Amino acid sequence: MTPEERVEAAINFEKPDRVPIVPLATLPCAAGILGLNLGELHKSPKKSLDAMLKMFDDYGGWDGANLMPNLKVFYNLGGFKVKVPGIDLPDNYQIQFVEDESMKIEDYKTVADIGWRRFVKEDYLYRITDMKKEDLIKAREEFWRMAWKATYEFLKRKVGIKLSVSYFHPFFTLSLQRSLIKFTQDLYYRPELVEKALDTMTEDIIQAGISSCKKTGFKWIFMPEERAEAAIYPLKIFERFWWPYTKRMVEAWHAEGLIVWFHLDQCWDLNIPYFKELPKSSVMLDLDGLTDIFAAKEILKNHLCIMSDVSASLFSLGTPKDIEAYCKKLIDKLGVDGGHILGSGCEVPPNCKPENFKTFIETGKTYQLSKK
Amino acid sequence: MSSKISENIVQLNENEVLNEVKMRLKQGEDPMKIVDDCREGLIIVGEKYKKKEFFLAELILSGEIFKVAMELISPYLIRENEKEIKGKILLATIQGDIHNLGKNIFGTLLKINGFKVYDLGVDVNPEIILDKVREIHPDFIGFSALLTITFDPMKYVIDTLKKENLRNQVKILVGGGVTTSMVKEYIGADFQTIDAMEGIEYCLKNVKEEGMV
Repeated sequence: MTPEERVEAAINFEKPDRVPIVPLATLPCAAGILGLNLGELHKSPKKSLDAMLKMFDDYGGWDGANLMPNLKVFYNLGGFKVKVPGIDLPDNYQIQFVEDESMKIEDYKTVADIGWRRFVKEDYLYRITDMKKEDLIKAREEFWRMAWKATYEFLKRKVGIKLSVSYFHPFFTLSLQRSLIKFTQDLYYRPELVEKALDTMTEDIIQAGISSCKKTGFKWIFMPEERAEAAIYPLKIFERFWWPYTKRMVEAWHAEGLIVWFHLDQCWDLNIPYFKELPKSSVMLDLDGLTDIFAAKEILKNHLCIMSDVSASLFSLGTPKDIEAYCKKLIDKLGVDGGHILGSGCEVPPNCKPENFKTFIETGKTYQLSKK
Repeated sequence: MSSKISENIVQLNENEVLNEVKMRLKQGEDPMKIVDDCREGLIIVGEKYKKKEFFLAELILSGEIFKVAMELISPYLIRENEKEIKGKILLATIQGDIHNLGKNIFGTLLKINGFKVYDLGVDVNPEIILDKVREIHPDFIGFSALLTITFDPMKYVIDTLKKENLRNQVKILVGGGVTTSMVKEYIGADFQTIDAMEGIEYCLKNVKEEGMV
């Protein structure tokens, strides 16, 4: 099977020749296992892409990949304030979000009126960066140049999941911009303002996702969320402010043949049953080790594919034996006959031991075949 | 439930709590009694959280109400009642990590529960933490971590405390999304959790057992 066929089989609950492997191995992982300076990579789009390609090639490749190095300007263009190594932080640090309440209560109305993307482009970007208007065109050109180059390189390598775009969930976006505490107060004390903004943002993202996927011909949309789950909010909040918007996005994209890769950090145990309401094979759930992945599998059975959760702490502190044992457990329990993609839970960290990463890839590639 | 304040804290009615606090202060009531009423509400919120009737959101919101209420009450308190302090805890997000949310939420809950909190902030150099431990001799150290690159600096702090024979004088907690029992073992901490209230329970249990008060 080709990587694409393997991923398709897993998503559609058909039997792949082996489990597809899709680690979230981006710049920190590349720098860590190749012994490169992460700060230097963040300063150079070319060096950063070269590092990701070298990591992919040196470790024999895998079945799906993030096509873009996660550089500062790309987060900024999406409206996210970040600090990155080499520019705002020491070289050996990781990129980190800054939650300093740059978005104010009065901004909800603007977002509701004109949408998130226009709000970022016309106003917010200049609050969270020192970018000037003339820099915006340059930054966007740089973004697209990089996107096409990365896409070309990974297509040459025949990866199975071709990510067209990445959008933070509107709920997560607002939580990061307002900060967790302020946003929680907004949800309880100013719910209508939040709802109106979420409504416009949802429609905005649906259209943007469809348009981007048409441009690239790819069908995957990556969507991280780590703030809506029942570890933080009661289900009444989830049901009012997250689920209806999520359903709307997924159903609209599913109708266009697109698939959402939900990257769900933290514990979603109580929220998992809701996902059964989504069309079969419309999304893939990528869990980070805090959700009970085996219980989630029981609930979602042959409805939605689960991407598994070899954790960052196991990659950095475990031994190859630990990694091998956990990968085998995941492969045995989560879907030999489809419905499982072997994943890294969250980003593979920069202090991942190279031998652990190698074992992760090799176990995924050989374990099932060795049993035949 | 014995007061409007505690009742409104449980119902997360911020304005009602603050209006009641202002009114009772104006009437010349003992400010410590008002603080006690606030704490009573917060204890109920904590109990509801343990029973899974409340979630982190309610802990956050009630903690924020308490913080604003305390800003109103503080000028009326002659001095902090040292006898009320259950224990001293030093909090830090260590070098390499600039996340502060989890640490701040935990810090607020500690204060509510009667602990004296020394919050060193984020991206804290291990030497600064060690200096502060030598200076104040805390009962607890709480590390917050969201990134794996914090593991070695935390281990360094704990190893150094061992070398200086200070380790057995302090209980060390580590929390945050990236932490696991494997991380606890690796750095040499006493307790690991991703649940702020579990951390509070651990501290309360220890002050009771060790007679730290």
